Amino acid sequence: MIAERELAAVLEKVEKPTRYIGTEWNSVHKDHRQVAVKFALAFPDVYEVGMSHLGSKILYHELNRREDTAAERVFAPWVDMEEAMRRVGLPLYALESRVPVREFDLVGFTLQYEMSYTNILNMLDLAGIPLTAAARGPDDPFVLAGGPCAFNVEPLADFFDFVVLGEGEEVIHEILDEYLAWQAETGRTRTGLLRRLAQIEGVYVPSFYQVQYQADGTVRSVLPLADAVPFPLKKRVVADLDTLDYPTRPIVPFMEIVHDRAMLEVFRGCSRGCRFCQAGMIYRPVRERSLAALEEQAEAIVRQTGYNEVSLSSLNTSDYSEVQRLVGNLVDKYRDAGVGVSLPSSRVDSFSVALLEKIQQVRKTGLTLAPEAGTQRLRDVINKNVTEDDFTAAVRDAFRAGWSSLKFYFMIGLPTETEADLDGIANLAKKAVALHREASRTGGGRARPPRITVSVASFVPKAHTPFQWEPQFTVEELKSRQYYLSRMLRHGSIVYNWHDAEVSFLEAVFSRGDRRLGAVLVAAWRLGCRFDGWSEHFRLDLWLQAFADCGLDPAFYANRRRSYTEVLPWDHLGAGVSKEYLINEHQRALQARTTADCRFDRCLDCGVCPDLGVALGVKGGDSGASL
Amino acid sequence: MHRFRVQFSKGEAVKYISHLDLVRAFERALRRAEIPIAFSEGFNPHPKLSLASALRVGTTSEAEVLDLELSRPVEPEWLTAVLQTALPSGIAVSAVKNIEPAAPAAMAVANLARYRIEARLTDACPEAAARAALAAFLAAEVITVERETSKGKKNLNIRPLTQSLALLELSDDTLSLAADLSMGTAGTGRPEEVVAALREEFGLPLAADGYRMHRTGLYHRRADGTVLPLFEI
Repeated sequence: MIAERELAAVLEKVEKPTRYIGTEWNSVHKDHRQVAVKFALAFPDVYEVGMSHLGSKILYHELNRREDTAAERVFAPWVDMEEAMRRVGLPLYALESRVPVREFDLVGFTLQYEMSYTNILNMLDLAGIPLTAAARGPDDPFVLAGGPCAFNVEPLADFFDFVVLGEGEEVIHEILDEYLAWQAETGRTRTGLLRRLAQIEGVYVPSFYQVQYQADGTVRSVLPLADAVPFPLKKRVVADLDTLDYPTRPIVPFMEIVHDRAMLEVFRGCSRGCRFCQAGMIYRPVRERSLAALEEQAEAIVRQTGYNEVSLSSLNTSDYSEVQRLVGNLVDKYRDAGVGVSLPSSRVDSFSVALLEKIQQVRKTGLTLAPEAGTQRLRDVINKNVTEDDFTAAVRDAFRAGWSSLKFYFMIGLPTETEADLDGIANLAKKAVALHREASRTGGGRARPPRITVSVASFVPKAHTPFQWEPQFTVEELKSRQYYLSRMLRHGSIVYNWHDAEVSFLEAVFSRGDRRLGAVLVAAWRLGCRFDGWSEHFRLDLWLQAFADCGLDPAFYANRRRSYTEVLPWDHLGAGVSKEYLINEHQRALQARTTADCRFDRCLDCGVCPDLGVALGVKGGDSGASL
Repeated sequence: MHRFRVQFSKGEAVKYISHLDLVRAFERALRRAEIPIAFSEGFNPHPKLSLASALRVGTTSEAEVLDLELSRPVEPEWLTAVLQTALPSGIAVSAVKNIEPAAPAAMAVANLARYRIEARLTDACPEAAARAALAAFLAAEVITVERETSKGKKNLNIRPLTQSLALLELSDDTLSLAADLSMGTAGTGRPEEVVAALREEFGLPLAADGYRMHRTGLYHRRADGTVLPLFEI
């Protein structure tokens, strides 16, 4: 355990010491002598980001409700803290006990975002844990990972002893039970545990598989090294969310974090089928929580956290079959207590705007709509089933309801995009300004001028999506499209902002990368790369040097079109959706043909339900059917 | 109107949380404890609570003061008990009492803070030298330190802000002092600036870091010079 005085000398030098204290309300502090397993939950970004992540709260709860396990948190120290720690030789420690992370049995990283990968290496290094699984010995912890990026964990394959595909609530207990059984073995070896774990559905041990490459750099084959390991792998899904124990005592931070509110998870999965969206593919099928369970959880979480806001989280909450009753009941129940309700993401339709209006009775927030593409043709290509009429109605309703500032999310660089599609973005933004003028005339007395924020991201092709074979446009091309848009969007009421195309480029490299990129990650980290998702720390020059030093071309990964017959590095990491379905969706995209949502139309044979032995789980009655 | 004054300590576990974080921690604790806090009127109602004084990050305290307004009467004993169970570790309620509707807010009358300062010695320091330095400090009329403000650095005379300064204890490696520092509209003294002046101006071998600051009390000093603990008012 790190001594109080030693820690104080470091903390008094950093900008935000509250990130590193670990005594927040609802934090769980167990006596390490009373538990069999010490599990460090590692989030490879700064505290405010990591503490906003629902999955980590769920795992913290699942692990700590076991008497035999102590789970503690560790986040990436911000650069000032890292410097202070390295200066005095303070190792990375877990927040609750202040015990060094290397003394834990298991260290689990969550993989939310490609641009946090160098932070994983930095955290292992700060902890004094060998970077690669192969270099770890009997006294080192096992390092594991999970989360959405696990569905192409190949660039990180060297660093993890094992990886979990899919939802963690059930499999984590199976893993711990195997760990305990292995602990009781005499003459146990690290490989012995990995062999046990590889038998659990959803557990991937990268070192048990060999990747061979063709002369052109594409993958020739991925082969299991032993008969006893599964191939291909299957992700884990929880069949019925109502059977799970929800964390209604999440930690309440002292400092303000990114999502500083109580979170309810309304449902998992989304079958809207947007073709660029990885979350929509890998979290299938849609499984809802029941209204009764959610209301009970809301009650418990407000009482046990003291938060003044409950967020209804999911991939698209207005799709919840009981959303009107849920929102209505919560708003009515908590209005007098000063507790608000919020919806984190909204579809572009009048129904969603009406819901938000209901919520605003308590607390005014901004309104964000995501048309994603500027023309009907391109929205059909990406299967964003939103028409210009939907857009017009939603924006008109929002202005009538009193909003004056709206934010629109778009993507550029989508497959088949032309100049007309960029013009379409500008046209929609200008149309919104015109609709505001019209609403002011008819509604009367709306003095505040409109403020339309157009936020534009660059398309990043992702593994396990219908666009996984598509090239990303080059950085130069993306920048020129950004510049074109900036000229088209010059207007007093429109604010235009865009994501750094160079960051999107690196995301595209790692989201579809292979194992050879592990060397690039190490090289970039050694050159000083970390917090690459933070613009003040992103250094493309160092990254390009790292690629050059490793003899790899990033364009091979980001800007190359794959053929349907190519072995993709992640083909064996089963997300449930079949390759036939993805190919079919890709073909339909190129023909600008849309596909309906299986919740409201026929089954599309994406493969998830039969393959994983689960079913679509829509719990509500009729209130969502009008969608 | 049902007003209450709460005295509490802020210990080691929470010494790094900021003033705003502490206000939020109380708001959340009140909601968890289902204490009937009153809300302000208006479009964005906020709970009626106010801390008498901001405590600098890194400083502990045994006598912070919070004023609350509740929407219905409660027993101070009940309030003490339920609030304590809902507070994070490191924050301990020591006393609660009713105050009159017309009583001045603690924030409005707090004008003196007493600190215990433990500064690390970088060299041997005989007691006579320490006492001489403190006497010289108190005899001076102007003691200038550089203070960083939101508008940049400025020079500040801290002597009028230092109402008393006394030696508490001297060990081989630590010098402990008691300091009464002004706060509020007349200017607010900072214990670390007293340490800096003793080092820079009066030659005491004190380290620039590794000190411990602890607030022992908040007071109201009347024009006639009498000093009342804030909670007693």
